[in-house]
Amino acid sequence: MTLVAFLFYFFIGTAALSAIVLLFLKNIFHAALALLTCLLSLAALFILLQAEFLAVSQILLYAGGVVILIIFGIMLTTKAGGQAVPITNTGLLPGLAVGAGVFFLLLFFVHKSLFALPSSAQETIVNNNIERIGIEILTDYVLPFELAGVLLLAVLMGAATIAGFKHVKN
Amino acid sequence: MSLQSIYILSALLFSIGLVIVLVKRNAILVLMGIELMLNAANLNLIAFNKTVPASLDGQVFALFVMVIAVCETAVGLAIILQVYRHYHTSVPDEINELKG
Amino acid sequence: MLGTNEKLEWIQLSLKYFLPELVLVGAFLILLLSSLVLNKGHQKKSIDWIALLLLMATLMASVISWNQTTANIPLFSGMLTQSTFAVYLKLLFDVAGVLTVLLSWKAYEYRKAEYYALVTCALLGAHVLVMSSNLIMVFLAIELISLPSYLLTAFVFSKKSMEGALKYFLFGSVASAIMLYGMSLLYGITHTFDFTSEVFAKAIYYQQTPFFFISVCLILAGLLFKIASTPMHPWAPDVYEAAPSPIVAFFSVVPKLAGIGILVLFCLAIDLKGNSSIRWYIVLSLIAILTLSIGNFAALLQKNPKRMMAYSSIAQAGILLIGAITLTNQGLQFMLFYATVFLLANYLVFLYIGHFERKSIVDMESYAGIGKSNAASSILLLVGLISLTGLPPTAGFLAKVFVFSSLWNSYEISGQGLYLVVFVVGLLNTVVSLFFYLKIPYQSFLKNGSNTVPSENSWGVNLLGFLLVITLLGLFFLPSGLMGWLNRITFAL
Repeated sequence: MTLVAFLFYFFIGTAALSAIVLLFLKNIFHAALALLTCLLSLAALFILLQAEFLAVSQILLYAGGVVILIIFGIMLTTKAGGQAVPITNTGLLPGLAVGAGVFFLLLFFVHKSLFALPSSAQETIVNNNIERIGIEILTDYVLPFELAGVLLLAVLMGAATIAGFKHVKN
Repeated sequence: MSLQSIYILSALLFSIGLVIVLVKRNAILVLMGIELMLNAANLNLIAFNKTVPASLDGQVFALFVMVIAVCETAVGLAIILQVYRHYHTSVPDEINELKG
Repeated sequence: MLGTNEKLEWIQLSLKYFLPELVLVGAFLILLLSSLVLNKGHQKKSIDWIALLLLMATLMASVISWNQTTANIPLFSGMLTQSTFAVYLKLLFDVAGVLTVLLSWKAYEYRKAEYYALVTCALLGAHVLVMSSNLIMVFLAIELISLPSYLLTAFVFSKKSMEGALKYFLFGSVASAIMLYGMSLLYGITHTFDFTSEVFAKAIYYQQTPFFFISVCLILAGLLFKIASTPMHPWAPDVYEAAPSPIVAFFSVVPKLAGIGILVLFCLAIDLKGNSSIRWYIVLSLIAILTLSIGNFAALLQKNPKRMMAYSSIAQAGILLIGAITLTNQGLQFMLFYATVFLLANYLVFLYIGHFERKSIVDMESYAGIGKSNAASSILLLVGLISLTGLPPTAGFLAKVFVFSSLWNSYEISGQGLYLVVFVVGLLNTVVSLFFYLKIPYQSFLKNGSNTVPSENSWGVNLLGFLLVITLLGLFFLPSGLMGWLNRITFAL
């Protein structure tokens, strides 16, 4: 087993494990850390799948953005100094049954051809993916790129308006 | 290294995300479940992109998904914050002004 | 494969056909800036005017592009396709946008500019969604509608509206995550996101597998959420009760029609001109039957007019789906006719629900006796409700007749028993809908209420209501003008 293959399965393992742990944790702050582990393992997998730019974005946007936001959310919605609210489940067994059903449904009907890698020496293609992504974003994908900018502005403004609303006591 | 194992991982993450959404009674945790589901889709997009080395469609889509995930989290937390101010809880079951 | 220079040239050429959307982006920015500049008490009133003028400008731009468009034009490297179908829906969205501004006139004063900016952003999303021919654009456009919608639901800033926003947000995010997973699976099958392309059609032609079926069903789940159709409807009543009434009118029309538009385009793509071995019309028919029945029967039980209208809009989505299931030119044209009438009637009803809400008439019971004190308003509201039911002499009757007759035609041509079932269920549901639509008029005209509501300050509302009623009656007596427009629309991909 080469080092790359070992890392590949190692990170698949950590991602899967931290996701499963996330499902059963009782403390919400620990859950956020489990999510962080999962997201970072995915970033490592992205590198192994030759998506270096996305790996960096994953770390910046998810680990640096989403998880921090979530942790802020947790801090702002628990009373200072108080005990963290334990996470409760409702209908755990039916939920797990649905989840397992979906999981096997997704695996059962999969076509083998889906995973056929192009035989033409996929390892030899030395491509500068980051440069290619840059060009694609500013040519083919320029419209979604610009619209994402509009969306970010709208969301920034809207979220600030909603979160900043102070209830006037009368 | 096979894409099959990646696909199995992504199906697992998606299912776990779905279970969290269905089962957990805490809005922030549901948000985490949604992030897991989005990441499962991202993993698929990047893995399937390996089978078409000529284009980078899958990777670019994954990039947009990340941007939107950040937007969703920001919107979600803004709303959760206001809900908490009104109800002093972020447990959806205890929030029941609207009834049908 | 095009070179970089050709791609850049394509972008430049596309901008010419992208005028309404550019105006919308401009409107969005101007509104944001105006909230910074016009923050004094008396200046705030001008924001209504700015929003109205900007959305009127968008409507004008859409009219211009309606006159320009004759064939399908791919824009921005095939991200979008400008078609007559898309442009007609865009016209409807812009009319809805203008009406939303008129409905929120002098109400919901807190953070008015931000409120309009979010409406503009959602309108932009709807515009892009119906033009999309690429799954990336579909996803982005749906988020462009959804995220501002979650925020707009919260704009009453009350306890209720926050709760509605939270429910909407959680449900909507899960739906879009499911849809995204479906898209990623579809990408694995087809290796392309462009669902109008040859590559896509070829790939799905050779892979009509259960796996393909699952991935399309996941995508449909996300689209049905936007349409508020069964099984993705449970968010609607809570959100409708919680949100500001102009926004509810907006939700019940714009995202719904945009969703129907993209659903039609997507179904045309996966139907492979009828060569698909998976019978998609069965799936759509079952959804339509369930949507109609659940919407209408649940509406019977409602006490709050906004909740009732939520279920009514679910049921209306079922009728729009009936127009879409046959995927024939005629059916889709009549669906657009129905959509036009539905837009006008729905805004008319919400105009008065919002109007009475401001006079603190919220429950169904408190409408008792209003027919005497507010005769004009109640009569105009009655016309709107009659049009939604589909009774003459309103355009709603004609629209329903058109939709059902095109379904009957398809049944006679194809002999599919399922179409007949849909036909019968649809007709029965129309009878059921009569009972709940006439609940409010029953209360206001036939019951004697102690409620004495002053009728002053309603001439502006009544003028707008009167104009909408005139249009609804005009479309009943002279539908040929609109049908002439609709005949220009082609539905090829």
